[in-house]
This record gives sequence, C-alpha cells and structure tokens, in this order.
Amino acid sequence: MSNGAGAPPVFEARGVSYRYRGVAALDGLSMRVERGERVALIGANGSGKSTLIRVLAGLAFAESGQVSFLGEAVTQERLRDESFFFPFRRRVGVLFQNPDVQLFNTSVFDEVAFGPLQLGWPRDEIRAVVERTLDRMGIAHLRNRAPHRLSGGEKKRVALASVLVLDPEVLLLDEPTAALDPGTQSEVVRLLASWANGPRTVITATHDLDTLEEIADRCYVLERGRIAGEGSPMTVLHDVGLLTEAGLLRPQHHKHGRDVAQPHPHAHWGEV
Amino acid sequence: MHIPDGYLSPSTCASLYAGAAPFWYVALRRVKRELDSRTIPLLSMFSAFCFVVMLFNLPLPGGTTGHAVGMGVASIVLGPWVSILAISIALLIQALLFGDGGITAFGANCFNMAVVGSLVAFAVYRIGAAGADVTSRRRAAAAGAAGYLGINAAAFCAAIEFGVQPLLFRTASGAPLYAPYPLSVSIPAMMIGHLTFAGVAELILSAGMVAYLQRADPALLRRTAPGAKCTIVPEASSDLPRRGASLRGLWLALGVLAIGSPLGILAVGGGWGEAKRVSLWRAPLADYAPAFIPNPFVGYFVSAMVGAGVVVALAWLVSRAAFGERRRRAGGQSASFMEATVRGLLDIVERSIFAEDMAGSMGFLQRLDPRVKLAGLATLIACAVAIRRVWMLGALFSIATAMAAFSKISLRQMARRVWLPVAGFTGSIALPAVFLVRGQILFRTPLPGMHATVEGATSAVFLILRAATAATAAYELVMTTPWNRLLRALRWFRAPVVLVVVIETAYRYISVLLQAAQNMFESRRARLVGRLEGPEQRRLAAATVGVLLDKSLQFSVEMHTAMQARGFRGEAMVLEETRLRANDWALLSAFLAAAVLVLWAGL
Repeated sequence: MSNGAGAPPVFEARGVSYRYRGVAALDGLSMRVERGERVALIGANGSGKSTLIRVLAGLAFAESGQVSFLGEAVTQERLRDESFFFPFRRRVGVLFQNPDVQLFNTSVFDEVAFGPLQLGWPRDEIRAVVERTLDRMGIAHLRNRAPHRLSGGEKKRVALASVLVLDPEVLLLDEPTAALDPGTQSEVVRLLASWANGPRTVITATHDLDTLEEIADRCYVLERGRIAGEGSPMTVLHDVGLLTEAGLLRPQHHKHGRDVAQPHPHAHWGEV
Repeated sequence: MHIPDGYLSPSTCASLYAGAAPFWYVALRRVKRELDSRTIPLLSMFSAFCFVVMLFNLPLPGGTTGHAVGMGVASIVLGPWVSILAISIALLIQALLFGDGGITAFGANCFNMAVVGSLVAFAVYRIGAAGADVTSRRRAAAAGAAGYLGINAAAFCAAIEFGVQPLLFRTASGAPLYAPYPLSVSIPAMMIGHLTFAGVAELILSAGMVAYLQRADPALLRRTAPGAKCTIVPEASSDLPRRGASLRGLWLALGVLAIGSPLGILAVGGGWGEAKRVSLWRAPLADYAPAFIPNPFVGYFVSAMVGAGVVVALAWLVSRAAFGERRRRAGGQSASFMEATVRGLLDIVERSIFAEDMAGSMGFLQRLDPRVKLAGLATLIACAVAIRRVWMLGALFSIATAMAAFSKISLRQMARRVWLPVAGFTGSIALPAVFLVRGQILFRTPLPGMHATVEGATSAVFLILRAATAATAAYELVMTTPWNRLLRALRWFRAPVVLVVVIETAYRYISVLLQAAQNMFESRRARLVGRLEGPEQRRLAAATVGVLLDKSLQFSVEMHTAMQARGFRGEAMVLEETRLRANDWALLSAFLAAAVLVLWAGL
C-alpha cells in the first residue's frame, strides 16, 4: 500500500504518550497510515483506541511524541491558525461512539448543516449539499425529526451523514457498529464501504472482529496504549496468542467431538 | 412560584423584564469571557440540568413531596452568573413549551427565581461556608441554608409583586384587575408554603447534593470555593452520603423560622401601620380587623392570617378535588417519590411526542409560519393581560377556543390539559377574593366580615379569564408547532444567536438527561427490596441529582469535543429560516391590527 516514495503518510504518530486522569492511555505509541488505506485499530476496552482517534483528530494533544497529518504537525497551536484549522476539519471527519454526544442539534437537517455552517460555506450551497447528503444516506424523510425520536440505527446514520456532508478525505470512526443490531450493523458497514472507495482513508477503532475483513486492509492491535501487533485482518485473526493477550478473544466453551473436553482458547475465523 | 399570565399587570411585567435584563446582559458577558468556546456546551448542559432538577419530586418529612427550583444547587456549583442564565433558560423552556409560568410573567419569574434566588443563595453559601473545608459539614449546612433562603427570597419577591397589584390596578369601581390580595395576605400566603414545603425541598436538595459531592467529586465544589482547604476525602462506604444527626439542628431552626415568620410580619405591619401614611400594607383588609380585638396590631395580624389561611386552605382543597385522582398513590406511602418523579419525567417525554404528532396534522394554526404564530399568539396573550373589560376578555377567550377547534385540538383534551388545571389553581386563588375584597355587598355569609362583593366577584372573573385565555393560547402554540422550529423562531425576534443556540441545545439535552434520570431511578427501583425510610429517600434523591450533575458535566465535555471535530470554534451559528412569504406578512398584519382593535376597545 505504499504510495510512491515521496508522498507523506496521511497520519503518522511517533512515540505518542497521553495521560487521562493520571493513567497512561497512550504509552509511546507509533503508527502510520498511508493515503487510501483502510486501517482498523483493534483492542479491548481501555486499550487506548478511542484516545488514539482523538489524538489523531486534533481533539486531544500528545504530552510527548508527535502526530502529523500529511507531513504537517498537528498541535494545539497549529489548530489555532485558521488556515490550518478549517482545511484540517474539512478533510478529517470523526464519528463518535455515542451518537447522543454527536447529535446536539434539535433537528436532523440542522445536525447535518452544522459542519458546513461552522466552516463558513455559503448558505444556499449548504441547503443544497445537506439535501443531497440526506438523500444519499436515505434519511431525507427524517429531515425535521428531533434526535430523541430517532432509533439507534437512525441516530448512527444521521451522525454519519453529519460527518460525510463535508466530504472528508479521511474518516476516523470510533466503534461505528457498537450497540447496533446485526441488520443495522451490516447496513452501516455497507454505507462506509460504498463511500470509502477511491483515494479516501478510513481509520476504524473497533473490538468487533466479525466485520474486520470488510472494513480494513490492515490492523493495529492495541494493548495498554501500545501497538501489540500489526498485519492484515487474516493474519491478525489467526494469531490466537496475540488476540488473547489483547483481551479480544474469550475461551470457547463448547466441545469439539469427544476428544477435546476442556475449554481452550481458539479462533473460528476463516473456517467456513 | 411560577407566576402565570394574568396575575401581574403589563407595567409590572415590563418593569421586571427590565429589572432582569441587566443581570442577563452582565451574566452573558461574564460567562462568555470565562468559558470561551465551552460556553455553549456547558451553559446548555447546565440549563438542561436545572430543568430536569425542577422535575424532581422530593420527599419531604410527613410523607408529602415538593419540587425545588435548583437555584441553591446551581449557584453553589456554577457560581451566581452561570446560575442566573441556566435557570432563566430552564424557565424559558418551561414557559414556552410546557406552559409552566406565563409568557408575559417570564421576566418576573426570572427576576425572582433566577436573579434574586441565585444571588441570595450564593451570598448565603459564601458567608456560611467561609473558611470551611471543602468536605466539612458546615459547607453542607451552608448549602442547605442557601437553598432555603434563596427560594424564600424569591417567594418574597413574588409575594410583593402580587401584593402591590390591588393597590395600583383597579377598575373604576374599585375591583382589583390582577392578583386581588394586598401585601397583608399575599406575603403570609406565599411564605407559609415556602417556609415549610418548597423551602425544605430546596434545602434537602442543596445540602444533600453538596454532601454527595463532598464524597464523590469534591473538585466540583472547588469551582466556587477556590481557596477552600480539602482534607483527605474518606472513601465512600456507599453511594449515599450519610448525614445522620447533622440535619437535626437545621430542622429545629426551620421550625423556629416557620413559627417566627408571622411574628415578623406582625412587626413589619405594626411599623408601617404606625407611619399612617403608608397605606400599602393595610389597604383593603384594614376594615376586617374584628371589633372584639382592641389592639389594632393584633387585630390586624389576626385578620391578615385569616385571609391568608383562607387562600391557602381553599387552594389546597380545590387542587385536591381537581387532581385527587392523579395524586392518589397506588400503594399508599410505599409508592415513593421515585414513582412520582419517573411519572413526571415520562409525562414530559409523552407531551413532547404528542405535540410533535399534533403539529403534523393539518389545521388552521398548523399552517401558519412558526414566527407568525409565535408573534400572533404572544400578542393575544399580551392583550388578554392588558385589557380591562370583562366582556372583551370573554370575547378573546372565545376566539382562542375557536382557534383550537379549527386546529384539530379536541376541546376535551383542552379541558383536561388546560382549563381544569387553570380552574383548580387560579380558581382556588380567585375564589376567596369574592369574599375578601371590600365593596358593594352581593350576598352575606354567616361568618363575621365575610361577605361576597360585586368587586370581589369581578376581580375573580378577571383573574380566571385572563389566566384561562393566556393558557389556552400558549397551549395552542406548543401543540401546533414542532418544538425545534418554535425555538428557532426566537431568532426572528432578534434574540442573540448564542442564546438561541444554547436554548436549542439545552432542549436537545433535556431529553438525554431525562432518559439518564429515568434509568437511574428504574435501576434503583429494580434493586430495591422493601421501602425506603424518609431520610433514606431524601439522601437518594439528592445523590441522584449529584450523579446527574456529574453526567451533565461529562456530556458537556464530550459534546464540546464532538462540536470541535466539525469545525466549531466557539461561535454560535444558525441557518436562518427562509424569508416570510407575502401571505405570512398579511396574516401577521391582520393579527396585529386585531390586537390594536382589541386594545382600543378593551382598555
């Protein structure tokens, strides 16, 4: 997935540490994402995936180490500069885990219009773009609905629309399929897949191993704020030791014929 | 405590709007400066928090329950300025969307509860807790006193506002046009209820929440007490704070206050009476001092207490009769405050959903642009408050009712939701006026000094018709407009964008906090075996408010992050609604022309 020699990576983290309430959430972590890659960050609760998403998105700032976007350092100071802030926010979209946090407007239309409005687009263009996005996401009928009257799946789609309306080049997703029923899950995955072709980059934090192969070409396994492993979904999913270590597997408690009676850790990926 | 439309004259309302305005202005400036880009998420979240706290049904000693306003809680944690804004916004959402408190009286309600209440509560807390440890008992006690005195100060302001009405605003024949009772009745009537019930609710909430925060999150208390020492925080043995005997002293003090307050009133009355020139106090009741009591002060005191007692007792009886069904508890005492609170929370959610569905059906009012509707119906309410002819008020009431009929609002529903509560509440306040207001005697009763008068009856009719017309119009407004568009319409009236955005965001997060509160209560109830004793219940309620506050803060931080991720830099922006069409303007002009006509004929 290298993109020619000179092109800087979309995101690069070098030795990033971040403390949250006195506990090290990221501990000297380094990683790199090239343009057009689809990368998954997998790890158990508290492994630092969400924090990493926030640090990459310039919503939290590393205490030591460096984060860069297309070769340019992402710091608090740089983000105060409008000539960096506005393009960065437009090009990098973030989907949060809890849609109730992300949906802070009183109607679906206003929610989707929030980003373009903040970035100072012309009002008429905003109306047109929002309408188009609502149509494309299949939520035009929810236009005037209040967020508290949306179902979980609808909330997720609106949150996604509110990010995609800016047509970002990089998408940071924090548990996009958590707490959704299987039907809605696959629908969200399908929406993301249809959006992500071309030069777009998607970084997904998840502990849902079922959808891993659909959403990523490459995975980082996180454990206690560090990278514990890296590889294609296929390699990672078969590395039972790594997955168990990272707290992503539970011992299977079913029998295999008559000879294996004791529960033992093993994976079921790719057996079908 | 929420003053409805029709109790205060337009000039009183205007001066109280003017009285509150500088405080809003200063508060908004200070808050913007202190919070920079966090203003909107924090202020919205706190307003939503205050709104939800006002819904809590707090268990009081003696098995009753009461609502608190939250000025103690808000000003202790947020400081007086944020508290003024947050409570005002919560009151605005209550007035606009839930018909709790009038639209013309909104300025008065904000002045009393948000401004005076917050400032008094904060001053009491600062003085009472000066030099105290963050986790000391004195701090919790000071918080209780702050809540208690804050709400009582607000009630006292309201009592004075009521009490000056009959002196300043009367018909040619002398019938009071607005709240009919003089200070000698309005002060005891308001203060008895607040010194005992509402004050205690506020006390429990403030002291209990501070006690909870002292254990769970002392850092929150340091916001307004930066210099206070914080000794080692003991590990919480349970999630409920133990206060034990520490409240005994407060209860005692409370008893003394409750008994002492009428004596204080007597002293005030005496002092003013002596001056002879000040007729404010004695005005309409002076003649009712029974002849057999020779001392004029004592006689005067007795008459005032009788008047206040009649008002309070009737208000209680009528509301009992009107709402007995709803208040009756399923399993006696054991159906606790939790049930009552959860029911209250659910009711709010149901109403918002019902309103949204109603707004979708096609009727006369549903077709109007929200801005035209807001302007038109607010004008109607203002007219109902301003005019001074009974027949004209009757006509306005009929017009409001006809509009409901044309807008597919069933009159049965209107009766259940609006007219019956108005009849119960305002009716019970207006009824004693028939007998207490001096004037031409209509018929006599066997009680000494209690005769129905023409002026008394007139004033009762005024009060009820005004309140009913205003409540009908307000109900039509919220039932025929999607609430998000109603809030956005405020922008058209030149409300600052930042305020509109804060109000909208607060409204959005009320539903999230309601959900959180409901979950907390229900999970608690699921684990509950047997029933809680009174003090346990009170601790539980206060702790729930503390947890909710923590959640609100956490939400505001996360919301701020989510806003930043989409390019938010602290500046409020809204997509303006499209311009009004020609026929909207025509309708608006028609509304205003009708209002001018009504005022011309009715003043």
